[in-house]
Amino acid sequence: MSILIDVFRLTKKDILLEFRKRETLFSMGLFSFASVLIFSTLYNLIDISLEAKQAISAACLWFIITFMVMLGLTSVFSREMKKNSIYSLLSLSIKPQVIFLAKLIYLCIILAIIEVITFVLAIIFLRVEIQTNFLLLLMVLTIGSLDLCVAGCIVSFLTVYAKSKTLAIPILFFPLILPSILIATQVTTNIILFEDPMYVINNTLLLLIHAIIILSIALLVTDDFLSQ
Amino acid sequence: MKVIDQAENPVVKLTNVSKVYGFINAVRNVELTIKEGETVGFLGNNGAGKSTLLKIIALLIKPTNGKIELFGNDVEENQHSFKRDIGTLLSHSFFYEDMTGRENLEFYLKMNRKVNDYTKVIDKAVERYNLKFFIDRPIHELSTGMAKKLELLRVALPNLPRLVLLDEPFSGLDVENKQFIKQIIAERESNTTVIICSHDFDSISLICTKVFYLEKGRIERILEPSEYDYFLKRQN
Repeated sequence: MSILIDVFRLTKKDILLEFRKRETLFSMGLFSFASVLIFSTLYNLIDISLEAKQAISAACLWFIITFMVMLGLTSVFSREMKKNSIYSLLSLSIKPQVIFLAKLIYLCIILAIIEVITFVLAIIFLRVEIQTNFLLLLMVLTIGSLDLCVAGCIVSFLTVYAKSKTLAIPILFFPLILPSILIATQVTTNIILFEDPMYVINNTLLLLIHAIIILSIALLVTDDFLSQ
Repeated sequence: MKVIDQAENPVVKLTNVSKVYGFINAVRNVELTIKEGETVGFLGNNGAGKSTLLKIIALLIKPTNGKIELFGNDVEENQHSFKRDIGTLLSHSFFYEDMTGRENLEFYLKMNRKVNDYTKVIDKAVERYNLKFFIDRPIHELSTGMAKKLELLRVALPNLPRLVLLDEPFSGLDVENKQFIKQIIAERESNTTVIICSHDFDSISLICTKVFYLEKGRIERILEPSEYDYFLKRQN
């Protein structure tokens, strides 16, 4: 129970700090809005079928989400690293796993906020049509995003002492999430075009397993990441 | 050269502790024992290994070799539970700049769960040390001295840590703020142990009852108060 309270307090602190400055939320939101507008403009310039547009829209959606996670990752430890003070967290009487979970939940929350906005924009501008399978789409978006956040968080932990984070984060992050993005894109396309629930559920399970494996590894090795 | 200071009921006991960063031996085979209630200093030039040794004792970094015992227990397992009894002040701030002093203090008190009524503890300390004018201002609006005062309050709030570790606490401070730090150290609980890390012998010789002199990661000498004058003259 005390672990959950610690996770809650740490997450609350990060969310509070983010809402005071809104730097990450603003940059993620702006990126999302700009991307949707660019893709939408592109659709108006070329003559392709509605089906093709919808398939591309699914890929666009995951492209935007992936880069939003990337933007969010830079803020995960930015407050602690501002004055080279990761020690502020390490000095607390909490297990290192608590820090990981709190950072993960923080990343998930800010991503969820921007995803809602992106999703609405995507429906309006990219013509992502949801008919009967909204719940399936919601499930894929939730689990896919969780998978990206878990992978992103472990990369953030790995690079916490790295001097060139802007180089290290993409190098480690993309190989880790590439299979997930491909699966998530295919599943989203399937929901929009073919509506095959079994295909969607099976592949979403793969995303969930991927997330669980990475999360388990992260929880096992967090201590060493932070204290070495 | 190994220097061993024998002591009963040690709060800190290091056995053969070393820390290597790449090819640099920051701390080499340090053995030391510090008793409860003592105020000791780590003295040495820049790069002597003082801060690294302090971080090892604060359980912020793991030593490459050696054994650490705090409060009579080996810290190998459940390190986080020992941190509740340690207050650490490093050269860079632990405070979040966009939070006020009060929010920062509340955050640290809540996370370390030593007291239930943290608001009362903070109010009492604010009243006692006359910090009313800047406790509710964001840290980024405060001067270095003001922020350091609040940091020290985080480290040494009444009844909190049994072990207080201060890394260069006097650097960048005016006379009044230095006096404030000395006052907090003087008013601490009798069972609280304080370790001060500094390259300025003048500052720590007035407070510390024992000084460990470090050179190239080793403890070269242990200075008792009777030797301070001699050491000071030799240094000058």
